[in-house]
Amino acid sequence: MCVKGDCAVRNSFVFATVVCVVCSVLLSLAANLLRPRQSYNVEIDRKKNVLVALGLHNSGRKIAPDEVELLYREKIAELVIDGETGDVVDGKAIEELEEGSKLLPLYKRKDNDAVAIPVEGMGLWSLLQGYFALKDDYNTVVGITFYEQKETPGLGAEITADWFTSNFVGKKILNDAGELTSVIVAKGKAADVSGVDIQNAVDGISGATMTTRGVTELLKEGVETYKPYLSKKWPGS
Amino acid sequence: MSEKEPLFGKKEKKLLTDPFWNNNPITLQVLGICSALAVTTQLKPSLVMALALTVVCALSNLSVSFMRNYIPNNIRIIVELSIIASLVILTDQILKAFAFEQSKLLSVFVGLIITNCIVLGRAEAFALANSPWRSLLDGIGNGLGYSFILLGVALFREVLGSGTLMGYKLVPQMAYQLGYQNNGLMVLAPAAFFLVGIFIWIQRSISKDLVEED
Repeated sequence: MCVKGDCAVRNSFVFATVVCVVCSVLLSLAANLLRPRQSYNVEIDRKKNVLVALGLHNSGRKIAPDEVELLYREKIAELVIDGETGDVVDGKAIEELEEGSKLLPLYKRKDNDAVAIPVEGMGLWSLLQGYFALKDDYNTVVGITFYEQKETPGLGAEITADWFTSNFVGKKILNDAGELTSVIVAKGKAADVSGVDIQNAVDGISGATMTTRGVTELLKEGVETYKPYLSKKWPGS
Repeated sequence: MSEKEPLFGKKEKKLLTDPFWNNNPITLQVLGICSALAVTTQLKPSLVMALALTVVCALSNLSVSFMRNYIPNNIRIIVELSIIASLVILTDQILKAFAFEQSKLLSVFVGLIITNCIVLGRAEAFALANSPWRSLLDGIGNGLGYSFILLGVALFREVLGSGTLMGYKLVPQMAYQLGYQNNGLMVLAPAAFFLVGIFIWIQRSISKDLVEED
């Protein structure tokens, strides 16, 4: 066995190991037991965001999870489209889509044919994920939401604030010449941006340049990805 | 300890009531100010935050106190931190499962309870040298003292800054039409600083014996 002095190091190791094992077991147990509930919450939140982006629900109001499910089932049609041709693919469900496949998910509002596309990209600290919704002309913006972000509260996290997202309503992704420009988040006021029509830009967020740059990028990427589908309704194509 | 300690004797009551006024963690020990600024724009998330911190502080004090005679001194802080971190992660997971909307509002701040000086501070200052029951009471007491200040700041910030309380409109529409405006400063972080400072000032004016010697 160890001599009085040497025991200290061995004891530290043993104690540390025991603490680590106990904590890990406790946390893994909790994580596994709670995962079904958490996944359900995330799924309801995602559906709620689709509804908000398409103007079917006011984000400030409270709504129960089963109401969300009901509204979603009633008003939203989930479609799968071919990324290359832009044609709707029958017989496939959005849940079955794999990463990197050329099939893309699309959420269409049944009563007015507005569509919401999922958009994602890096902000300053985290991955931003949201829905970008366009009217049935596939040009005018109906709404935008971010359901996943971990940006700085008060700065980058303001992209989820009503004042910011409501600025997008009515903006367009095509410029006056009919070219695809997406919607840019300006640094400062939208009216002051040179070379971009006012209908293609929204005011920026002071102190959140990097995050809003990320938003601009992810929107650009999003509309580019869905271009084969969206361009079907654009004039001249 | 050979003498039987009463379950709720005078000393035990003091553990719960002292951190409320005489030894408030925020206004007297000046700990845990950071989260007091960030989450207090509204009352509801502040309530959740206050509850989360109280539970974490109480349980961490309890655990550390149970182990106080066995923790090797050279890894003492890391062990305390591991316990606190595990408790906070557990709390965060529970919030995500049972109070999803609130956990979204609190975003990173529940995780930051790990860095909240009150929790580690009480573990070091009290739990290492006291019995489990006493340490539990001390944890709850400090959590309540923190909650008192947090909710006080949130009350002013939400009512004055947004005209609402717990999300319900308090200021009638008519007042806005007559020219009343929500105080924009209250929604920004510095306002919380000012309010905490004002609380400290008021507290020391009421209880002059709390004023520190220069």
